[in-house]
Amino acid sequence: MKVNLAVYWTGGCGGCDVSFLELGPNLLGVLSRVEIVFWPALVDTKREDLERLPPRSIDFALVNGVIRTAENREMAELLREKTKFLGAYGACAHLGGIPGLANQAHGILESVFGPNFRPAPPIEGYPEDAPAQVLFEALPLEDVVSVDFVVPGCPPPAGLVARFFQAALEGQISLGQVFAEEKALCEECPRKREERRITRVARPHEVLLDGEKCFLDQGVVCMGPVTRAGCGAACPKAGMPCTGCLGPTPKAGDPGLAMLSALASLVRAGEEGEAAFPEEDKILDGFVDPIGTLYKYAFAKYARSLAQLTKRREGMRA
Amino acid sequence: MSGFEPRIVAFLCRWCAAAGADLAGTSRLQYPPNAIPIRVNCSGRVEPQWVVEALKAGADGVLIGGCHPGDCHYVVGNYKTRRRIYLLHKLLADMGIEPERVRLAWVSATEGARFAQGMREFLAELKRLGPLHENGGEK
Amino acid sequence: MKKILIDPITRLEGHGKILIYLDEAGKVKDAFLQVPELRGFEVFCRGRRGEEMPQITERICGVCPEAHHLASAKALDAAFHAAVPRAARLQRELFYNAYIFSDHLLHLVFLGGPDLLLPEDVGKAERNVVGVLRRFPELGRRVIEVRASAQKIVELIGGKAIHPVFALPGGVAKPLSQEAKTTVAGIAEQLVELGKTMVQVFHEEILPRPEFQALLLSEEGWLPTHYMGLVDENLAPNFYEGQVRVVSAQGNELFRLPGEQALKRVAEHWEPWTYVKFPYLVDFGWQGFRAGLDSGIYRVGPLARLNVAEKMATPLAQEEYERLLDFFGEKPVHATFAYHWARLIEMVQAAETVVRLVQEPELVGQEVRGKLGKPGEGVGVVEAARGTLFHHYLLNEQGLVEQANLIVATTHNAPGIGLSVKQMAAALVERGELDEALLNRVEMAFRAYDPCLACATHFLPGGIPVAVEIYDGQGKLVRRIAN
Ligand code: SF4
Ligand code: SF4
Ligand code: SF4
Ligand code: FES
Repeated sequence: MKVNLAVYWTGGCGGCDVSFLELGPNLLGVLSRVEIVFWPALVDTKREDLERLPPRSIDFALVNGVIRTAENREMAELLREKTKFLGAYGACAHLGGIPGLANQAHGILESVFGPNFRPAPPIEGYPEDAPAQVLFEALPLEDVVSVDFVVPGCPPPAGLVARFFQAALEGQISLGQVFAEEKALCEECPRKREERRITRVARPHEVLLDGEKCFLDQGVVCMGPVTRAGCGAACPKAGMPCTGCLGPTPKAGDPGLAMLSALASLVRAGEEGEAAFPEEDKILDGFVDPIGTLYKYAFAKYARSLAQLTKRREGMRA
Repeated sequence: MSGFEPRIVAFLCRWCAAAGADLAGTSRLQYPPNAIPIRVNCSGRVEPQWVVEALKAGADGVLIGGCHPGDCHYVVGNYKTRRRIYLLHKLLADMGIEPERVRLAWVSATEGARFAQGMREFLAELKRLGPLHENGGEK
Repeated sequence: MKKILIDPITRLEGHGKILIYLDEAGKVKDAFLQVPELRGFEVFCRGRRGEEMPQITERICGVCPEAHHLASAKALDAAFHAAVPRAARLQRELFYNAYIFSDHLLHLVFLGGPDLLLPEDVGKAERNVVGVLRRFPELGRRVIEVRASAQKIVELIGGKAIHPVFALPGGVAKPLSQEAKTTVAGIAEQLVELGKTMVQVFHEEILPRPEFQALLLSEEGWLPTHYMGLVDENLAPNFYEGQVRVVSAQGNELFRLPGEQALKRVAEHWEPWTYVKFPYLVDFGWQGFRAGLDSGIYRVGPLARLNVAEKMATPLAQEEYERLLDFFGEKPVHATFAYHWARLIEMVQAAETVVRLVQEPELVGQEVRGKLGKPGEGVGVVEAARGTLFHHYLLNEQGLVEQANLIVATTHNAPGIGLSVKQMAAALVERGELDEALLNRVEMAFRAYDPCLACATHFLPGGIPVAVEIYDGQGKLVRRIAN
């Protein structure tokens, strides 16, 4: 019997939708075994077709993208109602992703729109045709509906997508499953690790990058130690540090704070001691844009509530 | 902010800062009772996660008390802590949270007065900053 | 008044709604393409590390991340006053042409393909990629294979097939290995072969169909606007670099300028009923939603590039280009459905360019990073598959982003898309019933542009509208709603 599948894209970039194509020739095999009941990027079924389905009639739904508008939330809720197993597909749905960085900028959102801005319908008399309200926050999927499993990545690497389909077609998905490794990315990274001592924080464009050495040994922040393995260390192999798209290992928890802690341990300015403090501080000052670096994909999930304390308290700040 | 009593979580190294706090207590030195002390084996054990958790959970400020440079029982624990807090300050500032809400203090076991004084200063600082939570932290 | 709603518009990249309002007599009163998505990139890019921008902005769109990646890198090259070494430039250009090929192919077969390859009476359950694969199993299989090869090139150079990571200000992260080059050389020829097959399929399966010819020549598919695109020094289209050329609806050159100057000739108009903005040429000003010689509305993308160019850059593409010009007998070609044909021609040029570039010995050169100066301001412009893409950054002295402004392809096309949708809706309603196939026609008008709404929704509308104005076909204000 075929497995029913729905795919939907909320506030994302579409890369997750396209990532299915990266299955290449295996895609045909997958397509022959699933029945696509709803997938706006590929088939002409509309929202009302989805609304007509009985509850829990879809076997698997994969939602990608961040929850950014009221409409995104409604669609996520609708899919939740119609689906047995609902998964967060990709970093946006899983962690808030890069659009989740917008949570840092609420004050700006408000100041751009002005306090009285209301989206309007194109023609008077059709209030329902105003564009969907933009939510105050950009949320990971789990903040609006319960999520049964996660296929992580930005977008999920083909190998992990294949792993998901295999499990789905065999009916072998467990609640809470994350389709990536529990071990850290460093364990699948071919780069050579030496002492891991940072004597200078360097940004990738500032230094000529050594192709063989661990980035941390070169002073370049790499999220490998706190990120799940599963992509084959794609970025370090391509000459750039990992920025954490597969999300944190279970051990790391909050990836930004875990990495911050790791960096603090690695920084050295000669002999440790009071005499080295000013020099250490200088090294640490080379570390800029902490939010963008530590929470490139995970800001909405891990740091949003903290960042909002101040915003809520002081009202909107530009 | 009249009537605002800041809530403080204090992670205190048991070899020094916690002992200093005890001394302040037994010497009847006046220091405000706003802090919830948590003893740890070394300031180096205090994870940034704990500090942030305390702030999220309702604290207006977090104090980390460790041994003076050179005195850490684990030799370098307090140096690591210092660097962590230095970075954490940057992160908090980036999030729009005043870094002054997280304070690192070196306190030895014999410095009861210094501990009391440091606490009073921190408290004054937090009063000046006002509550971290919108409703003063009440849920 | 009656309303027809198509929601969501399927088989395109992003979210969109088409709203059609009819008057008492049942005629189309007005039609709108609404984009109800918004993510706010320009706002949260502020404060980010400049060198991260190629990786951050590409998350605007997962269909054309390569375009954002390189537009961003080029803006950074300029902001850091860096000269890109030849080896790095070749890597970027090769990567970029492989992307154009792959993206165009994706649209021709999977997204727009169902409109082109399947008869119109095919039901909606079949009118999709699965339907295409069922009817053209051999072709479908090859397309999937060759697209995978093109993506392999993108991945070998870019590091990841979707959301590549290799570009840095002044160059790329690492030299290309000899091994990778050999792999690319081994698959490049397939791209050209498939390009030829697609041309053949087009001439055998698509062009001869009377419905398609009718669409190509139809009045509702004819929209006279100005056109914008990048050209090289021979006035052939170049996707990766060149000057921005704009020609008028009559075909004469309005300007040909480097990106940073061309950007100054474009301004944007907003409406409160959509989160996409509407660019126009400042020389003409915003004249409302209407096409024509004195309107400021212009279009970008495959057809626009062919209209601004005088020829193609490669031989097979040139042959097909001439066939297109013969068919229409005039230039600029204003037929919206010719976008598909133009896409095919460009796909061939991209494939031929891949083959040429992979033969360059310097492709594997070791020097891939140019020297950087102090960070400042920079504009980067490329031709994304869907049209001209501008990235404009201001960096502070630490190299952090102070301001980012992006104008993406679908945004340039937003006014044109809206007009095409309305024209199509009006014509169909005029002729009678609105059934499912006819609704699909409206979407077809829209899909001809291969619009990427993910791209178009990156921004925040700026400013607070005080009034909504609706214009009729003559540019007369018919309604004004103040908020
Ligand atoms: S997770 Fe990445 S690829 Fe997927 S929608 Fe978000 S930005 Fe795009
Ligand atoms: S830190 Fe980065 S470069 Fe180093 S081993 Fe881990 S993943 Fe590889
Ligand atoms: S290396 Fe890191 S950022 Fe790159 S794909 Fe893997 S997990 Fe994602
Ligand atoms: S033992 Fe007191 S700080 Fe380490």
